[in-house]
Amino acid sequence: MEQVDVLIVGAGASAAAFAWAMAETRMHIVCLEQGDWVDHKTYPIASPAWEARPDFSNDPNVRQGPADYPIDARRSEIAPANFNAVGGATILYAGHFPRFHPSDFRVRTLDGVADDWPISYATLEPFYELNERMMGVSGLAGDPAYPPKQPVMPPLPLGKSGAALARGYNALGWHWWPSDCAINTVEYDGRARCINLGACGLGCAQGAKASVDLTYWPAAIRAGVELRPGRRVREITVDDHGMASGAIYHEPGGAVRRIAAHIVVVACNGIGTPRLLLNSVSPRFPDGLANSSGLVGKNLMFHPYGVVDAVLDHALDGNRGPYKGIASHQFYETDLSRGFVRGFSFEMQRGYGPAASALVALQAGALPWGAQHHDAYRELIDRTVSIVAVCEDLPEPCNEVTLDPEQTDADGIPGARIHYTLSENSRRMMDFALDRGRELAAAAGAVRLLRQMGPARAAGFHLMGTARMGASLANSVVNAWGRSHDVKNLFIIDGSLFVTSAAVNPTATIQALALYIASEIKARLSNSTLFD
Amino acid sequence: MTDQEIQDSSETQLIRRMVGSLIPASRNHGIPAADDPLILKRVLQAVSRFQAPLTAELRALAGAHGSPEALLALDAADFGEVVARAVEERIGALGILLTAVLQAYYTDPRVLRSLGKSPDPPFPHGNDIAQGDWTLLDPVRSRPPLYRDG
Repeated sequence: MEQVDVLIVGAGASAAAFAWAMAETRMHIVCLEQGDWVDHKTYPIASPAWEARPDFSNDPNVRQGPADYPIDARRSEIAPANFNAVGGATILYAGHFPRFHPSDFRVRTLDGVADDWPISYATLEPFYELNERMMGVSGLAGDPAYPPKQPVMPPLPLGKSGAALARGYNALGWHWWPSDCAINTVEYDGRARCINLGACGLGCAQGAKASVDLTYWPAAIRAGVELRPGRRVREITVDDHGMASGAIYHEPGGAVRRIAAHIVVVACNGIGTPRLLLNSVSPRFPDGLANSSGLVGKNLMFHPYGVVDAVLDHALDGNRGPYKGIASHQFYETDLSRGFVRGFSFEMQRGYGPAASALVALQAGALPWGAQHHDAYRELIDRTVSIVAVCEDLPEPCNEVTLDPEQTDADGIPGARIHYTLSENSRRMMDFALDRGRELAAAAGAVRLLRQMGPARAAGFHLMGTARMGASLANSVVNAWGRSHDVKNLFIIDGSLFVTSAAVNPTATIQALALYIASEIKARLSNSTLFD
Repeated sequence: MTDQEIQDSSETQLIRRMVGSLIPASRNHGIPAADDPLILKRVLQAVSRFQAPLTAELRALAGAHGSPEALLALDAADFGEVVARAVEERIGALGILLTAVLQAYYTDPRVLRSLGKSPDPPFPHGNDIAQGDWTLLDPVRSRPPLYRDG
């Protein structure tokens, strides 16, 4: 049987950062990824009818590709999104790349809810900075919503859509700032600058958006990490001492192989990670690996998204330009007079392509059929900008990932089932956010509103909390540096770790955490305390 | 089933008539209806992945009028009313078809040209957008910090 030093399962945002950071140890590091490399020339944006490509849907149940596994979301108010390939969800993400706030790590202390993280903003700050240099983050220094930080390149353009919302924010006296985005505004690290293709969520053929197949992975592979796509891990194995011994996986075509490893690292996202752990059952771990706390799969958090589409009386950017541009943290920090604890951010969706514009209008019930269809559509196209609320979701044990007893993937491995209901706090926050969104739309000069909805069902972009970190087995699956409390050579490095969700996109924090955990592992390797 | 048999099936005839009713041609804008053969072909391709639920829905719709033939025999105005009502009442089940119609229609080169848009994919040419007036940020720059220390 093949023996390696470090086995990483999954090749998305966290795995890529971790692999690169660990490469300097010169250990034999192998990453198994169920998906394949994606050729950027095949991205929809490089072909006609680019808006009609189900193979690039972020919904695995629509995509149904060979690397996908079924996720039964019928018992969830929000449907999860993912992408199974080298690069993971960074292939399709919008590139919005904000950090968490310092207060996000101290929610129990500051606001009396959920739990504090076992680490602080200060712990992650150097890893945020390192990650932003590796990914290439555009933005603008001086944001009063954050401690000082320095983006590595100038911000994305405001454009007409951004300027319209900025005027609205200013009229209301609300905070706004150019978004930190992992999108090149200048040529950076051998990757070209953004040319405003307007389809960040379908993959960036220009390579200006920092997906980790373009950033970390090439560097990690050059440094000696082996990345093997098309290999689906069935279970993590354990030895007689209760240590992880490696994994059983499927080769392309289905053949079953074993691989032995001294360290096993799980990086399969907030649904894939608990799925793998729960599928890794043994006499010693009958309820799933690393699950003596019973918390594997529990506390699933999404960011409930609220959407208000503002139609203006003049042309905006439409699908020209990156999806994102500016964001507001006016309502980020707790103010109990609003009727809920914690908060939300507003981000901008710059506009939509022709087909997406029609689908938005259909969803809003604003698209007549028959003879009136054409004129009604033409009043909306290129005049719509969306105000998107990203609400903080608090952990609830009843929101969980379990194994699907009915559906399996192509290799016969049970799929995932999710149960998820919005909490009362999240509902109150959502109602407040939609009211503020309508207020902002009016201040920006909207002549009409389309969708005013939340939570948006198809917006399960962020999968968090299902193998949380913490100080003790009583309230967590892993310790403060990602090591399983139960299995001392098993590490988790993805969004499953999150104790709380904050109110911004998680990728920057996921990767900062992965770099931090790699740093902790390296330090403990050097003083031989890693498995203590 | 051959392509011809698919084209001739009552469900396909019903889809053709429905999509043509939903998005008719426009002489003003110089654009075809959604039952244009090229657009319809793409609609049928898109919905083929969801054939079972859609067929069930179409059969239920036709059954409410006696048979597919009876439904297809309605004149344009009556058929349009039936389709409009079905879309309103059965948006969930017919959502697959509506999504496919809109995606096929609004990616058709003739329709895109009529909207003043290029039928070519955005890559590799890209687009220009305005940098914008960054002095709009001045009032925000002068604000005190609004984050809490952790």
